[in-house]
Amino acid sequence: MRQVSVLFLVLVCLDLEYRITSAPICAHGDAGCHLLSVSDLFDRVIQHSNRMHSLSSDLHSEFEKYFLPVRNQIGRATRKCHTSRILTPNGKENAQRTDREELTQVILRLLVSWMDPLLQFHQSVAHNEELSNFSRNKALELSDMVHELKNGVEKMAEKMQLLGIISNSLNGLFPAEASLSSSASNEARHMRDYELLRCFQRDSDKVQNYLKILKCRIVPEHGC
Amino acid sequence: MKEACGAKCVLFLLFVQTWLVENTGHTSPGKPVLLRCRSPEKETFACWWQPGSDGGLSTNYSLYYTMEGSREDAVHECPDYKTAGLNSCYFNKTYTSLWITYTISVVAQNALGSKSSDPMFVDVAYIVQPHKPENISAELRTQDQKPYLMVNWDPPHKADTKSGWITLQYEIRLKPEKGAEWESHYAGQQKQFNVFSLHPGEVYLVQVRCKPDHGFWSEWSSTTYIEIPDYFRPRDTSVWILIAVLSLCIFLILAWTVAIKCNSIKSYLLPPVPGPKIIGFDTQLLKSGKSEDLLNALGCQGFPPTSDCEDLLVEFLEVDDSDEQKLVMNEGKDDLEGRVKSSGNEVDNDSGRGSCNSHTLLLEVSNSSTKTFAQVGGNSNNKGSVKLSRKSSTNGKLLSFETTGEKTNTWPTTNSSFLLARQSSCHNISKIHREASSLGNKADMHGNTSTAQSKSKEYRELPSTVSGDQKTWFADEKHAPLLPFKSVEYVEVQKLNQQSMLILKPKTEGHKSVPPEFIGQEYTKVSGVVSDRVLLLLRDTGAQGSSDTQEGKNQAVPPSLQCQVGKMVGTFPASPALEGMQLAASGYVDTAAVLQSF
Repeated sequence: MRQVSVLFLVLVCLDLEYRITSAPICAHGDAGCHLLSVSDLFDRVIQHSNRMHSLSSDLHSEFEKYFLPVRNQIGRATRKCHTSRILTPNGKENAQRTDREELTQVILRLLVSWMDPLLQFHQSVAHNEELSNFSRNKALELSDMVHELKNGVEKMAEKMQLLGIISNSLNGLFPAEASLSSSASNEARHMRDYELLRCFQRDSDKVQNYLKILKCRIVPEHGC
Repeated sequence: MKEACGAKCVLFLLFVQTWLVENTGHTSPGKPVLLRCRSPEKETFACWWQPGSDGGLSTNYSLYYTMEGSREDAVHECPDYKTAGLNSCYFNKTYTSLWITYTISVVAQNALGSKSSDPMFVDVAYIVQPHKPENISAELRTQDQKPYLMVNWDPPHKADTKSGWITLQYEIRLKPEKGAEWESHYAGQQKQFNVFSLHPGEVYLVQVRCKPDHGFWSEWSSTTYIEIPDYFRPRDTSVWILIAVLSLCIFLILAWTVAIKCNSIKSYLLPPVPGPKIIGFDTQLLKSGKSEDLLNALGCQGFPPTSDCEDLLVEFLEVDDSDEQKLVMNEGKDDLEGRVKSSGNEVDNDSGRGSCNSHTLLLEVSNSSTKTFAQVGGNSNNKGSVKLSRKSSTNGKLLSFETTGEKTNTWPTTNSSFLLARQSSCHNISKIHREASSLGNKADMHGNTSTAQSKSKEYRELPSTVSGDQKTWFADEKHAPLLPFKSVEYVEVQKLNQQSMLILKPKTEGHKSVPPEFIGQEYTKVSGVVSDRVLLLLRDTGAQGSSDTQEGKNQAVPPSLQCQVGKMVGTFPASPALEGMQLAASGYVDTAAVLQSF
């Protein structure tokens, strides 16, 4: 019995060991090491945002085909996106002038503001028989992606705050964002699908671009 | 009236206007068309349009735009018509805002009117078309003896990739100078690319282009030329090795085949030239260089050969003493043995062949004699009698001699093989070996031991007729053995015993020891033969002990005989054999010829 229990313990320990997921190469105090892990996070997040953007572009073009047969027609109503209130740098100099904390914040704001509208979008599209299954699946995937990306960026921001790369001034802004997003989402409900998708396509491009700027500012060694 | 006048006036005006237009050709401008708007670096952009017909009048174009998010009536005009070229509008950084939809239109205006183009909705972030990549370098490198092309380039200098503002993807294409199609490779975001599978000895053209994440492909860069030098690829090396190994195998197989079939090939390619074959011509003799022997073998005594050569009987009997050891006497008389052995050790060249030369008694044969026979006396009573037995009845057989006695026999035993010799054309020579051992006298044996000494002496076959105690050999002239001739040896007659047998003793050189009994013996010439049993011997003048012989002679010899040295005198009953008898210069008689009559 004793031997069995010892063996069992050993196996459990091994199993525990196995459960420990692969940690970054350096998990301890080094500054260089931490930057390396942040770089990995950045890469992952940027990949994610790329995917998200391409998906939104596909959906947008698909919807335009359905609901807007003639492109560039005069008088096309270009309703403002619900995220237009969020001030975002719209040029390279502007973006480079924006500090990293603000940039991170902008990203997060954008992502947060899109979580609900996309969910609603998916719900409305799910019942739409005219659209193909492929489109409906894409819509679902899109809303999931936003969630994941937001979580990823949040974690990355936390890490950066932990490492002192960005200051802790971010925390104060989040509650304000929550209220903003609810009104925005109400507005978004009235938008048509294709307009929604166009807005989202643009915003996802912003997010992607800002993330890249951030990465090349913080960890410029890899691929900048 | 007024109404009619008004209508008329309007018509008149219209008519004038159209007339004016037709005569002058001026109209309001045609509708311009906006072609495209492009941003090279996502910081500025420019738009181009195509003017419509100008209506014959100078027309100017102006571009107006509105921005999303601003008020509807905030229409702006193009800030820069020149930088981007003709019919273009260039927006610099201050006028460029990303992620904003521009509504752009062009208005053409001349004296007669203006026309506006269709609007174009532009979001600068999505109209990026960068410039070409720059500083393209192609370098030839080898990896594991395989060459590859390493191509490096830089992004267009205006595109800011370092800050992450733009992310570019690249594409490279190359083709051989004389090739028809380009080979494209997607390089991703890296600024370097390795190209494999190159053809050596060719000049390659390399081009690169780039594209942002979502945007347009740039134009192909300027061509870079690189030459791939000729080299021996490792693949070729292995192929050559394979070829070498295969050819070696084939060569080995051929060589082996040739080696095996060498003879047949030789005979096929170079058929053997038939050599001359002359009967009786012994090439061995020729090689040994004894011309005398050679000529003698041909059956000619002296040269040129006489016509009678072939007719001469050549016969001889050889004793094969290969089993000489058995002949040694039990008592082992040393001197006898010595004699036996000494001469026996001599190599007899005519082993296995018929030979006209031998260390034996040489008796000359008459030309015409076809048969000769030799008498060998045998005393059955004596010990060690030698028996002649005929092996077979046909010609050319072996004669075997059996020795039954303990004592040494001069004749070789039956075990020894007597080789038959073909009748050689040696004509005058025959040998007769006399048996002496049958007498049972030790002394008697001396005489004939010599005959046994030569090795492998040949016996001519003969249909022997055994008569009484005597046995005769008949020598057939069959085939002349080709044997080298040895020096003639003389046989010393020991004595003539009572049974009318000639006891011979070879006269060998260098007698080692002469038994005292034989001292005083000397040569005797045979003067003639009486009947078939008596040899008439001549005595030398100084011979001793001749009285006996003489007496014997006197008894048997017919009165006509006379003693003459060197000659045979006397009359004999005519016999054809005797007629052919010839006396050699030495005066010795070939008994074979004498006895031929029988």
